[in-house]
Amino acid sequence: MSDEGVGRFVGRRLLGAVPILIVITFAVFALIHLAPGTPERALLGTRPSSPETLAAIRERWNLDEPFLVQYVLWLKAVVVGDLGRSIQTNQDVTTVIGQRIGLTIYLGLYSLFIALVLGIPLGMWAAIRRGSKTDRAVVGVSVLGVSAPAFAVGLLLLYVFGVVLDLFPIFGGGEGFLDRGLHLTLPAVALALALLALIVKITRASVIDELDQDYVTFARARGLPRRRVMGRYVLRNALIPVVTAAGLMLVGLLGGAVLVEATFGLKGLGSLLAESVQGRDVPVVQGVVLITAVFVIVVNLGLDVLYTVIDPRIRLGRVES
Amino acid sequence: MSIGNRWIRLVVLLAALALVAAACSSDDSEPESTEGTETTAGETGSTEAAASGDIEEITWGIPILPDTLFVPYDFSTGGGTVMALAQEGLLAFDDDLALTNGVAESWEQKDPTTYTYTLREGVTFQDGTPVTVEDVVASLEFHLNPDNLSFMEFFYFAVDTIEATGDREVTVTLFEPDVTWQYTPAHMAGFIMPQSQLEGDLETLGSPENLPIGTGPYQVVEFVPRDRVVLERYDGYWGENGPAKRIVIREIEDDQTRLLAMRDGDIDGSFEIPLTEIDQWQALEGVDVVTTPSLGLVLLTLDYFTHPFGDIHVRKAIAHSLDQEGLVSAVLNGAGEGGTVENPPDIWAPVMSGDDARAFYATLPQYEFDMEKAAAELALSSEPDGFEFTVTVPGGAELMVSPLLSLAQNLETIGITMNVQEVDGATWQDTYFGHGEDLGMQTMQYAADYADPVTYPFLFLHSSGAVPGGFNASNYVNERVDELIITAVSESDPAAREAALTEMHEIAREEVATIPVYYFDTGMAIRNDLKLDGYNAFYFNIPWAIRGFGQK
Repeated sequence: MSDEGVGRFVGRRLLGAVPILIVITFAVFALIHLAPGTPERALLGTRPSSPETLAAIRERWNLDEPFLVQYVLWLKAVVVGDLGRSIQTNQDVTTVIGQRIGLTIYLGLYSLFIALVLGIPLGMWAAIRRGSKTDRAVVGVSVLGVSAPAFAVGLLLLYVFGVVLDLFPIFGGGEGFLDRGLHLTLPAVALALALLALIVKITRASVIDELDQDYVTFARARGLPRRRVMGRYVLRNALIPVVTAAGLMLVGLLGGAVLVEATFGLKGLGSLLAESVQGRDVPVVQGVVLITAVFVIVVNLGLDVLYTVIDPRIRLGRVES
Repeated sequence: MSIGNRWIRLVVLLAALALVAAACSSDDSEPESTEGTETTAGETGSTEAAASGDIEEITWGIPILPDTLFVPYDFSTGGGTVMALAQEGLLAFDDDLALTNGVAESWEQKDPTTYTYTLREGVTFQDGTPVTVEDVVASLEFHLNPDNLSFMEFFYFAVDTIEATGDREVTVTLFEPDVTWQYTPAHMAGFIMPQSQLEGDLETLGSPENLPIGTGPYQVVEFVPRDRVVLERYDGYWGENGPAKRIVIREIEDDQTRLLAMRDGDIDGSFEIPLTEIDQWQALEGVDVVTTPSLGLVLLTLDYFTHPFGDIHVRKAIAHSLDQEGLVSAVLNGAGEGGTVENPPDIWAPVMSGDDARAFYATLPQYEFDMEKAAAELALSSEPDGFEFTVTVPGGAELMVSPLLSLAQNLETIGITMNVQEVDGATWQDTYFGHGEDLGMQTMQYAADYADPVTYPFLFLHSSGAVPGGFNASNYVNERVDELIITAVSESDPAAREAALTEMHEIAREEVATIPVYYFDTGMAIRNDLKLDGYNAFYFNIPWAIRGFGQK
């Protein structure tokens, strides 16, 4: 296997991403056009309007152009960095997404952080005490967390910690790094509980595999302290599947925790996507899908690079047959 | 691979994470002001009354704030709740929903198609500049110009010209007599803005960078779309001002969250309380809940061209199967009334009182809830063994969905299978306004913009609405009804209008043109040491914070 430089590897992958992005955005574009309902009617809602106004709106947004022409026009603009304007709000799509993406990323990373900080130690603990009541209790509790829907848990947390104990604000996203952290703690916990089971189980399985390895038995026999064996060797080696799962979860979280956003009054990408699909706001839907797809590709790329940091045996590059 | 190479990758990754963290903590459009009432635990919004009865700040929570504060491009109750504090028109609605003077000190209808308005002296915009007739003309004409794509253009369909006919006089002439024009200057569609703003950059007008100003008692000083608006009292207001110096309006979309926010004291009041959960709000301590007729209604249309809805016996059978009393009690929690005709009682105000309207309704065929009568009617119809059909309704619109579900259960007992299909809003609109074949049964929830009994009949019963884009989903066409509606539109004499409209309703009710379900209320929650005496159906169209608002 050849060892490609990081730069070349990343470059090659990003280039390969372009056809994927075109296919995805075209598919979404087609789907939203297949759905009944039109942007101009959704914009006007149940208000009386004249056929002239509807026609004028259609003209303004090129809605009467042939389907392929509309897509190509959009693509041409994207290539020069112009994501267009939202039909519903007339703001630049870039601005609209920019207003929301910060919160979604913060919330996603925050929930993932909580899930990992709780899940990895719990998973390890369960693995060490494999088969015992502790093991079953840990796995049982975490499965409970994944069974309860995030928005229901969110409402419960909101009531207990926001209203009764008055420790956290009830709605809104906050401003500034710390204030935002305060506002997003409850939603992040709600989302994290849903992820916890998976992290715990993957960590547990992976650590169990490692504990069965010869080198662990050898290290223990040589008298190395337990903690050092676990922390420096076992955990490090067990991390690869966990990192993979975490990366995929991050991508899922960024897709938008729509229901949690609704419960806590958060203006993130999830609610943006839901609102724009309902309003048939094609430019915004396309923009969000594009950004999300780019993000998925970047995260996967980042994971691949991260593997090489965790495990020096892994090299970037193609397999030579 | 060398150790150095690995560490470089790690450093690069950490740097990327740091960048992401920086990006997360700031959004471009969040301004740097501090949040007023939300910061300290337990604080209920500083309302220390100064010696003059002033209130420092109040916080209001509503379900949706607009994306733009430029009313012609928004036209929603959320937008109105905000902008009716900052802007006003020549006229206004008073506490009883009747017309009263606003920026105009007087007005006159010189002949059936000519209206003149005389501007008050000393009215200024919030930037201090005086209001001129040019500003008024520019504001009203904005909606006439099709290039402007105003959402409120239909308020001006009858208008021919708008001119300054004196340095304090504006004259509006109509194509034909239209008695509904008189309300437009009181409505959001008649808000006055500086000509300079209207001729400036329309792309940004209404955004946080280009806030619209008006002549109203409060000025918008901060706006975060779909999040919050902050208004400050404008001391140059021509009228008597309100007690609150600062008003913060927050968007809280989720009803449960809004309830908790009220309970917690994060907000001092809220409009549009969900009627289906009004008992939970009423159970809150320290909170008053007030309901008032909204002048809105929910009705069912039955397309005459879709078999078998053209059969009068089928229509009557369905009418007898609707448990209005049960629905008002279970869905509205009593905050409303069962529907008889396409007009809530209080909307008759310019023509007769609500009680007189109810007395009139009692003389009409009632089609009371009675499954035996429903079965008898069906037996006389062209489909005595029943039939099956599907009706689409926007999912989540509880006031529309629940009546359909209840009706479906009742119809099943007489052999009619009604499939209720919840679809998303845009899909439903496409069906209703697409006005295609097989329109079948449709449902519509509509709210009034002003109190006049001709608007709903015009939309739902006049033949001009039986087209794509129209509201007459029954495809109801009756020449006499058309005549009577037009009479009510062009006649200004209340007695003549009453005669025309009552005869019209008699005909339409006999023929079951539509099946009105109920007239629903609208509700407000307010901290019980505060009052808002002027709360009425048009709370989103009046400067509510100066209409009997203040400490008790």
